[in-house]
Amino acid sequence: MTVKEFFKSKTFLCIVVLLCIALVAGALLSIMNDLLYVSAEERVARTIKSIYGQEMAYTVVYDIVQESEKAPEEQVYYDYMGYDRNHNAVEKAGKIENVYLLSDGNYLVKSSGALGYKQGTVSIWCVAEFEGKHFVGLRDVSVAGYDKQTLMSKFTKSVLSGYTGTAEFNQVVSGASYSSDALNNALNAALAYVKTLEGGAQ
Amino acid sequence: MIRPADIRKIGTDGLLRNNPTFRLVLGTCPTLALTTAAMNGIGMGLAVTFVLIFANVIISALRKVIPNEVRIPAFVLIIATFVTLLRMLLDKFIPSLYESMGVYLPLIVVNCIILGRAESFASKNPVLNSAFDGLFTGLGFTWALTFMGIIREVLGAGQLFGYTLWDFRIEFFSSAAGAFFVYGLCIALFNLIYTKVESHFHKVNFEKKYITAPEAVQEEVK
Repeated sequence: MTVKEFFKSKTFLCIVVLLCIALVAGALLSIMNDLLYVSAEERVARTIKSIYGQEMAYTVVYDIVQESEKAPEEQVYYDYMGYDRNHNAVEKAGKIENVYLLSDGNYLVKSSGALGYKQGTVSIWCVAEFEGKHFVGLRDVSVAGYDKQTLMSKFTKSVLSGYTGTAEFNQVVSGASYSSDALNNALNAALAYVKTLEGGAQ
Repeated sequence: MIRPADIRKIGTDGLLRNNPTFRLVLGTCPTLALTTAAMNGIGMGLAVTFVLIFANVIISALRKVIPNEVRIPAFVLIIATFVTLLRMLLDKFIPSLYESMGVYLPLIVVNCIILGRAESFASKNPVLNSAFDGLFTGLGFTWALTFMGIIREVLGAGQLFGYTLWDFRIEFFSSAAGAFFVYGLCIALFNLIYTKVESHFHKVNFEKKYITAPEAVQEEVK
Protein backbone atom coordinates (compact mmCIF):
# COMPACT_ATOMS: atom_id res chain seq x y z
CA MET A 1 0.00 0.00 0.00
CA THR A 2 1.44 3.37 -0.98
CA VAL A 3 1.15 6.48 1.19
CA LYS A 4 -1.44 7.91 -1.18
CA GLU A 5 -3.53 4.75 -0.99
CA PHE A 6 -3.32 4.79 2.80
CA PHE A 7 -4.74 8.30 2.96
CA LYS A 8 -7.63 7.21 0.74
CA SER A 9 -8.23 3.99 2.64
CA LYS A 10 -10.98 3.15 5.14
CA THR A 11 -8.34 2.64 7.85
CA PHE A 12 -7.32 6.28 7.61
CA LEU A 13 -10.97 7.37 7.69
CA CYS A 14 -11.58 5.30 10.82
CA ILE A 15 -8.55 6.83 12.55
CA VAL A 16 -9.60 10.36 11.60
CA VAL A 17 -13.19 9.87 12.79
CA LEU A 18 -12.13 8.41 16.13
CA LEU A 19 -9.50 11.12 16.61
CA CYS A 20 -12.01 13.86 15.81
CA ILE A 21 -14.54 12.49 18.29
CA ALA A 22 -11.84 12.13 20.95
CA LEU A 23 -10.56 15.67 20.34
CA VAL A 24 -14.01 17.30 20.47
CA ALA A 25 -14.93 15.25 23.57
CA GLY A 26 -11.63 16.17 25.22
CA ALA A 27 -12.08 19.87 24.48
CA LEU A 28 -15.68 19.83 25.75
CA LEU A 29 -14.74 18.02 28.96
CA SER A 30 -11.76 20.32 29.58
CA ILE A 31 -14.01 23.37 29.39
CA MET A 32 -16.70 21.77 31.56
CA ASN A 33 -14.12 20.60 34.09
CA ASP A 34 -12.91 24.17 34.40
CA LEU A 35 -16.47 25.42 34.90
CA LEU A 36 -17.65 22.68 37.26
CA TYR A 37 -14.49 22.05 39.29
CA VAL A 38 -15.23 21.42 42.97
CA SER A 39 -12.38 22.67 45.14
CA ALA A 40 -11.26 21.10 48.41
CA GLU A 41 -12.59 24.18 50.26
CA GLU A 42 -16.02 23.70 48.70
CA ARG A 43 -16.05 20.06 49.76
CA VAL A 44 -15.23 21.00 53.35
CA ALA A 45 -17.94 23.67 53.26
CA ARG A 46 -20.40 21.00 52.07
CA THR A 47 -19.41 18.65 54.86
CA ILE A 48 -19.86 21.39 57.44
CA LYS A 49 -23.23 22.29 55.94
CA SER A 50 -24.39 18.67 56.00
CA ILE A 51 -23.46 18.39 59.69
CA TYR A 52 -24.60 21.80 60.90
CA GLY A 53 -27.40 22.43 58.41
CA GLN A 54 -25.83 25.77 57.57
CA GLU A 55 -22.59 27.15 56.20
CA MET A 56 -20.00 28.10 58.75
CA ALA A 57 -16.64 29.84 58.58
CA TYR A 58 -13.65 27.65 59.42
CA THR A 59 -9.88 27.64 59.62
CA VAL A 60 -7.70 24.69 58.70
CA VAL A 61 -5.87 23.37 61.77
CA TYR A 62 -4.36 20.25 60.24
CA ASP A 63 -4.33 18.68 56.78
CA ILE A 64 -2.45 15.44 56.25
CA VAL A 65 -1.99 16.14 52.52
CA GLN A 66 -0.41 19.53 53.19
CA GLU A 67 1.73 17.90 55.85
CA SER A 68 3.09 15.32 53.43
CA GLU A 69 4.22 18.14 51.14
CA LYS A 70 6.44 19.65 53.82
CA ALA A 71 10.12 18.79 54.36
CA PRO A 72 10.47 15.42 56.18
CA GLU A 73 11.81 16.99 59.38
CA GLU A 74 8.82 19.37 59.57
CA GLN A 75 6.14 16.78 59.03
CA VAL A 76 3.82 16.03 61.94
CA TYR A 77 1.50 13.04 62.00
CA TYR A 78 -1.05 12.17 64.65
CA ASP A 79 -1.18 8.39 64.81
CA TYR A 80 -3.18 6.45 67.34
CA MET A 81 -1.75 3.31 68.87
CA GLY A 82 -4.31 0.54 69.29
CA TYR A 83 -4.46 -3.20 69.72
CA ASP A 84 -5.39 -5.97 67.35
CA ARG A 85 -7.58 -8.95 68.28
CA ASN A 86 -4.56 -10.84 69.68
CA HIS A 87 -3.82 -7.88 71.98
CA ASN A 88 -0.69 -6.97 70.03
CA ALA A 89 0.06 -3.26 69.95
CA VAL A 90 -0.41 -1.68 66.53
CA GLU A 91 1.32 1.67 66.17
CA LYS A 92 -0.81 3.08 63.41
CA ALA A 93 -4.26 1.79 64.27
CA GLY A 94 -5.72 5.21 63.58
CA LYS A 95 -4.66 8.57 62.23
CA ILE A 96 -5.90 12.12 61.94
CA GLU A 97 -6.46 13.32 58.39
CA ASN A 98 -8.07 16.74 58.69
CA VAL A 99 -8.96 19.10 61.48
CA TYR A 100 -10.94 22.33 61.08
CA LEU A 101 -11.71 24.91 63.74
CA LEU A 102 -15.25 26.15 63.23
CA SER A 103 -16.40 29.67 64.00
CA ASP A 104 -18.58 28.40 66.90
CA GLY A 105 -15.49 27.08 68.69
CA ASN A 106 -16.00 23.39 67.90
CA TYR A 107 -13.67 21.24 65.85
CA LEU A 108 -14.52 19.17 62.82
CA VAL A 109 -12.21 16.15 62.69
CA LYS A 110 -11.69 13.56 59.98
CA SER A 111 -9.86 10.48 61.13
CA SER A 112 -9.35 6.98 59.82
CA GLY A 113 -8.99 3.65 61.54
CA ALA A 114 -7.16 0.51 60.41
CA LEU A 115 -7.60 -3.21 61.27
CA GLY A 116 -10.95 -3.49 59.57
CA TYR A 117 -12.26 -6.38 57.52
CA LYS A 118 -9.50 -7.68 55.19
CA GLN A 119 -7.16 -5.12 56.81
CA GLY A 120 -9.23 -2.33 55.29
CA THR A 121 -9.89 1.09 56.76
CA VAL A 122 -12.86 3.19 57.80
CA SER A 123 -12.72 6.98 57.96
CA ILE A 124 -15.14 9.16 59.89
CA TRP A 125 -16.14 12.79 60.32
CA CYS A 126 -17.01 13.94 63.79
CA VAL A 127 -17.58 17.19 65.60
CA ALA A 128 -15.65 17.71 68.83
CA GLU A 129 -17.79 19.97 70.98
CA PHE A 130 -16.04 22.45 73.27
CA GLU A 131 -17.41 24.68 75.98
CA GLY A 132 -14.75 27.31 76.32
CA LYS A 133 -11.56 25.30 76.72
CA HIS A 134 -13.29 22.22 78.00
CA PHE A 135 -13.94 19.27 75.70
CA VAL A 136 -17.54 18.17 76.17
CA GLY A 137 -17.82 15.26 73.79
CA LEU A 138 -18.25 14.12 70.25
CA ARG A 139 -21.35 14.67 68.21
CA ASP A 140 -22.53 14.03 64.64
CA VAL A 141 -20.32 11.05 63.92
CA SER A 142 -20.70 10.00 60.29
CA VAL A 143 -18.84 7.64 57.99
CA ALA A 144 -16.69 9.57 55.50
CA GLY A 145 -15.45 6.57 53.55
CA TYR A 146 -14.23 3.01 53.79
CA ASP A 147 -12.08 0.48 52.06
CA LYS A 148 -12.81 -3.28 51.66
CA GLN A 149 -15.65 -3.16 54.23
CA THR A 150 -18.64 -5.04 52.85
CA LEU A 151 -21.01 -4.60 55.77
CA MET A 152 -20.91 -0.87 56.29
CA SER A 153 -24.69 -0.72 55.91
CA LYS A 154 -24.81 -2.11 59.46
CA PHE A 155 -23.62 1.28 60.68
CA THR A 156 -26.98 2.95 60.62
CA LYS A 157 -27.63 6.35 62.14
CA SER A 158 -28.83 4.74 65.35
CA VAL A 159 -25.59 2.71 65.67
CA LEU A 160 -23.47 5.79 65.01
CA SER A 161 -25.48 7.76 67.55
CA GLY A 162 -23.88 5.44 70.16
CA TYR A 163 -20.74 7.56 69.78
CA THR A 164 -22.52 10.84 70.38
CA GLY A 165 -21.63 12.59 73.59
CA THR A 166 -18.51 10.46 74.00
CA ALA A 167 -15.73 12.18 75.86
CA GLU A 168 -13.90 8.98 76.83
CA PHE A 169 -12.61 6.03 74.83
CA ASN A 170 -15.39 3.57 74.14
CA GLN A 171 -16.30 0.67 71.96
CA VAL A 172 -19.40 0.46 69.82
CA VAL A 173 -19.95 -2.82 68.04
CA SER A 174 -22.40 -3.31 65.22
CA GLY A 175 -23.15 -6.51 63.31
CA ALA A 176 -19.86 -6.07 61.43
CA SER A 177 -17.23 -6.67 64.07
CA TYR A 178 -14.05 -6.08 62.01
CA SER A 179 -15.47 -2.88 60.54
CA SER A 180 -16.44 -1.90 64.11
CA ASP A 181 -12.78 -2.32 65.11
CA ALA A 182 -11.69 0.05 62.34
CA LEU A 183 -14.41 2.54 63.22
CA ASN A 184 -13.50 2.40 66.91
CA ASN A 185 -9.86 3.02 66.02
CA ALA A 186 -10.86 6.04 63.92
CA LEU A 187 -13.01 7.37 66.73
CA ASN A 188 -10.33 6.80 69.35
CA ALA A 189 -7.76 8.53 67.15
CA ALA A 190 -10.09 11.53 66.97
CA LEU A 191 -10.63 11.47 70.75
CA ALA A 192 -6.92 11.19 71.46
CA TYR A 193 -6.22 14.16 69.23
CA VAL A 194 -9.03 16.30 70.59
CA LYS A 195 -7.84 15.72 74.15
CA THR A 196 -4.50 17.32 73.20
CA LEU A 197 -6.42 20.47 72.27
CA GLU A 198 -8.23 20.63 75.58
CA GLY A 199 -7.18 23.39 77.92
CA GLY A 200 -5.10 25.42 75.56
CA ALA A 201 -6.58 25.31 72.15
CA GLN A 202 -8.95 28.25 72.33
CA MET B 1 -40.15 15.87 10.80
CA ILE B 2 -41.40 13.30 13.27
CA ARG B 3 -45.10 12.27 13.15
CA PRO B 4 -47.23 12.03 16.31
CA ALA B 5 -47.85 8.35 15.54
CA ASP B 6 -44.07 7.75 15.56
CA ILE B 7 -43.73 9.47 18.92
CA ARG B 8 -46.60 7.35 20.27
CA LYS B 9 -44.94 4.16 19.04
CA ILE B 10 -41.52 5.13 20.38
CA GLY B 11 -43.16 6.09 23.68
CA THR B 12 -45.04 2.82 24.20
CA ASP B 13 -41.97 0.87 23.10
CA GLY B 14 -39.68 2.57 25.62
CA LEU B 15 -42.11 2.72 28.51
CA LEU B 16 -43.91 -0.61 28.14
CA ARG B 17 -43.50 -2.92 25.14
CA ASN B 18 -39.67 -2.89 25.19
CA ASN B 19 -39.21 -1.67 28.74
CA PRO B 20 -35.45 -2.08 29.32
CA THR B 21 -35.81 -3.40 32.86
CA PHE B 22 -38.90 -5.60 32.89
CA ARG B 23 -39.10 -6.75 29.26
CA LEU B 24 -35.52 -6.72 27.94
CA VAL B 25 -33.85 -7.33 31.34
CA LEU B 26 -31.05 -4.88 30.54
CA GLY B 27 -29.10 -2.69 32.96
CA THR B 28 -29.50 -5.33 35.66
CA CYS B 29 -26.40 -4.35 37.64
CA PRO B 30 -27.60 -0.85 38.68
CA THR B 31 -31.16 -2.17 38.95
CA LEU B 32 -30.18 -4.64 41.65
CA ALA B 33 -27.68 -2.43 43.40
CA LEU B 34 -29.41 0.93 43.49
CA THR B 35 -33.01 0.10 44.25
CA THR B 36 -32.58 -0.04 48.02
CA ALA B 37 -34.27 3.37 48.05
CA ALA B 38 -36.80 4.90 45.69
CA MET B 39 -34.83 8.14 45.46
CA ASN B 40 -31.74 6.26 44.28
CA GLY B 41 -33.87 4.62 41.59
CA ILE B 42 -35.14 7.98 40.37
CA GLY B 43 -31.63 9.42 40.42
CA MET B 44 -30.10 6.52 38.49
CA GLY B 45 -33.00 6.48 36.02
CA LEU B 46 -32.74 10.19 35.29
CA ALA B 47 -28.96 9.95 34.98
CA VAL B 48 -29.33 7.20 32.38
CA THR B 49 -32.07 9.22 30.63
CA PHE B 50 -29.73 12.22 30.36
CA VAL B 51 -26.96 10.13 28.82
CA LEU B 52 -29.39 8.25 26.56
CA ILE B 53 -30.89 11.42 25.08
CA PHE B 54 -27.62 13.18 24.36
CA ALA B 55 -25.72 10.08 23.23
CA ASN B 56 -28.58 9.11 20.92
CA VAL B 57 -28.72 12.60 19.41
CA ILE B 58 -24.98 12.77 18.71
CA ILE B 59 -24.76 9.19 17.44
CA SER B 60 -27.75 9.76 15.17
CA ALA B 61 -26.28 13.01 13.84
CA LEU B 62 -22.96 11.28 13.10
CA ARG B 63 -24.46 8.00 11.81
CA LYS B 64 -23.42 8.68 8.21
CA VAL B 65 -19.92 9.81 9.22
CA ILE B 66 -18.91 7.02 11.58
CA PRO B 67 -17.53 4.03 9.61
CA ASN B 68 -19.23 0.75 10.43
CA GLU B 69 -15.92 -0.87 11.44
CA VAL B 70 -15.30 1.54 14.35
CA ARG B 71 -18.87 2.25 15.36
CA ILE B 72 -18.63 0.55 18.77
CA PRO B 73 -15.48 2.41 19.94
CA ALA B 74 -17.01 5.64 18.59
CA PHE B 75 -20.25 5.01 20.51
CA VAL B 76 -18.35 4.23 23.70
CA LEU B 77 -16.32 7.44 23.30
CA ILE B 78 -19.48 9.51 22.88
CA ILE B 79 -21.29 7.79 25.76
CA ALA B 80 -18.23 8.13 28.03
CA THR B 81 -18.09 11.86 27.28
CA PHE B 82 -21.66 12.38 28.45
CA VAL B 83 -21.22 10.16 31.49
CA THR B 84 -18.15 12.18 32.52
CA LEU B 85 -20.10 15.38 31.97
CA LEU B 86 -22.95 14.02 34.06
CA ARG B 87 -20.54 13.11 36.87
CA MET B 88 -19.18 16.65 36.89
CA LEU B 89 -22.69 18.14 36.95
CA LEU B 90 -23.88 15.87 39.76
CA ASP B 91 -20.73 16.39 41.83
CA LYS B 92 -21.17 20.14 41.50
CA PHE B 93 -24.92 20.53 41.94
CA ILE B 94 -26.33 17.36 43.59
CA PRO B 95 -23.41 15.96 45.66
CA SER B 96 -25.67 13.78 47.82
CA LEU B 97 -26.95 11.93 44.75
CA TYR B 98 -23.42 11.76 43.33
CA GLU B 99 -22.20 10.05 46.49
CA SER B 100 -25.16 7.70 46.78
CA MET B 101 -24.69 6.43 43.21
CA GLY B 102 -21.04 5.68 43.85
CA VAL B 103 -19.34 3.40 41.35
CA TYR B 104 -22.56 2.80 39.39
CA LEU B 105 -22.40 6.30 37.92
CA PRO B 106 -19.21 5.78 35.87
CA LEU B 107 -20.47 2.28 35.04
CA ILE B 108 -23.25 3.89 32.96
CA VAL B 109 -20.61 3.99 30.20
CA VAL B 110 -20.97 0.25 29.72
CA ASN B 111 -24.70 0.12 30.41
CA CYS B 112 -26.29 -2.28 27.91
CA ILE B 113 -29.36 -0.08 27.52
CA ILE B 114 -27.40 2.90 26.22
CA LEU B 115 -25.12 0.88 23.95
CA GLY B 116 -28.11 -1.17 22.81
CA ARG B 117 -30.20 1.86 21.83
CA ALA B 118 -27.20 3.45 20.11
CA GLU B 119 -26.59 0.31 18.07
CA SER B 120 -30.18 -0.68 17.30
CA PHE B 121 -31.92 2.70 17.00
CA ALA B 122 -29.82 5.87 17.01
CA SER B 123 -27.37 4.64 14.37
CA LYS B 124 -30.27 3.93 11.97
CA ASN B 125 -32.79 6.71 12.64
CA PRO B 126 -33.02 10.52 12.37
CA VAL B 127 -31.96 12.80 15.20
CA LEU B 128 -35.41 13.73 16.53
CA ASN B 129 -36.65 10.13 16.58
CA SER B 130 -33.46 9.11 18.40
CA ALA B 131 -33.92 11.87 20.96
CA PHE B 132 -37.46 10.68 21.69
CA ASP B 133 -36.24 7.08 21.84
CA GLY B 134 -33.62 8.10 24.40
CA LEU B 135 -36.20 10.01 26.42
CA PHE B 136 -38.81 7.26 26.54
CA THR B 137 -36.35 4.39 27.05
CA GLY B 138 -34.79 6.38 29.88
CA LEU B 139 -38.18 7.10 31.44
CA GLY B 140 -39.07 3.42 31.12
CA PHE B 141 -35.91 2.57 33.02
CA THR B 142 -36.63 5.31 35.58
CA TRP B 143 -40.16 4.19 36.43
CA ALA B 144 -39.08 0.55 36.68
CA LEU B 145 -36.24 1.40 39.08
CA THR B 146 -38.48 3.70 41.11
CA PHE B 147 -41.18 1.02 41.36
CA MET B 148 -38.66 -1.52 42.62
CA GLY B 149 -37.10 1.09 44.90
CA ILE B 150 -40.46 1.84 46.50
CA ILE B 151 -41.11 -1.85 47.20
CA ARG B 152 -37.65 -2.46 48.65
CA GLU B 153 -37.56 0.76 50.68
CA VAL B 154 -41.01 0.26 52.18
CA LEU B 155 -40.46 -3.40 53.06
CA GLY B 156 -36.73 -3.29 53.76
CA ALA B 157 -36.42 -0.01 55.65
CA GLY B 158 -39.99 0.96 56.58
CA GLN B 159 -39.49 4.22 54.72
CA LEU B 160 -40.70 5.92 51.56
CA PHE B 161 -38.54 8.55 49.87
CA GLY B 162 -36.57 8.84 53.10
CA TYR B 163 -39.61 9.41 55.33
CA THR B 164 -40.18 6.81 58.02
CA LEU B 165 -43.54 5.06 57.70
CA TRP B 166 -43.27 2.52 60.51
CA ASP B 167 -40.67 0.64 62.59
CA PHE B 168 -41.45 -2.70 60.98
CA ARG B 169 -38.89 -3.81 58.38
CA ILE B 170 -37.71 -6.99 56.72
CA GLU B 171 -33.97 -6.64 56.14
CA PHE B 172 -34.05 -9.32 53.46
CA PHE B 173 -35.51 -6.80 51.01
CA SER B 174 -32.53 -4.48 51.51
CA SER B 175 -30.06 -7.27 50.76
CA ALA B 176 -28.75 -8.46 47.39
CA ALA B 177 -30.89 -11.60 47.57
CA GLY B 178 -33.93 -9.44 48.23
CA ALA B 179 -33.10 -7.40 45.14
CA PHE B 180 -33.16 -10.53 42.96
CA PHE B 181 -36.39 -11.66 44.61
CA VAL B 182 -38.16 -8.32 44.06
CA TYR B 183 -36.78 -8.07 40.53
CA GLY B 184 -38.11 -11.51 39.62
CA LEU B 185 -41.53 -10.76 41.10
CA CYS B 186 -41.70 -7.40 39.29
CA ILE B 187 -40.81 -9.01 35.94
CA ALA B 188 -43.48 -11.67 36.47
CA LEU B 189 -46.11 -9.13 37.55
CA PHE B 190 -45.31 -6.72 34.72
CA ASN B 191 -45.42 -9.42 32.06
CA LEU B 192 -48.64 -10.86 33.47
CA ILE B 193 -50.38 -7.47 33.37
CA TYR B 194 -48.82 -6.57 30.03
CA THR B 195 -49.92 -9.83 28.38
CA LYS B 196 -53.48 -9.47 29.73
CA VAL B 197 -53.78 -5.83 28.61
CA GLU B 198 -52.27 -6.60 25.21
CA SER B 199 -54.60 -9.55 24.59
CA HIS B 200 -57.55 -7.38 25.69
CA PHE B 201 -56.61 -4.69 23.18
CA HIS B 202 -56.14 -7.28 20.44
CA LYS B 203 -59.62 -8.62 21.21
CA VAL B 204 -61.17 -5.13 21.21
CA ASN B 205 -59.43 -4.22 17.96
CA PHE B 206 -60.50 -7.50 16.36
CA GLU B 207 -64.12 -6.95 17.41
CA LYS B 208 -64.04 -3.36 16.21
CA LYS B 209 -62.59 -4.40 12.88
CA TYR B 210 -64.56 -7.54 12.05
CA ILE B 211 -67.57 -8.07 14.34
CA THR B 212 -69.05 -4.59 14.82
CA ALA B 213 -67.75 -3.38 11.45
CA PRO B 214 -70.16 -2.26 8.72
CA GLU B 215 -71.83 -5.05 6.80
CA ALA B 216 -69.76 -4.34 3.73
CA VAL B 217 -66.57 -5.19 5.63
CA GLN B 218 -68.18 -8.32 7.13
CA GLU B 219 -69.19 -9.41 3.65
CA GLU B 220 -65.64 -8.86 2.50
CA VAL B 221 -64.34 -11.03 5.33
CA LYS B 222 -66.75 -13.81 4.44
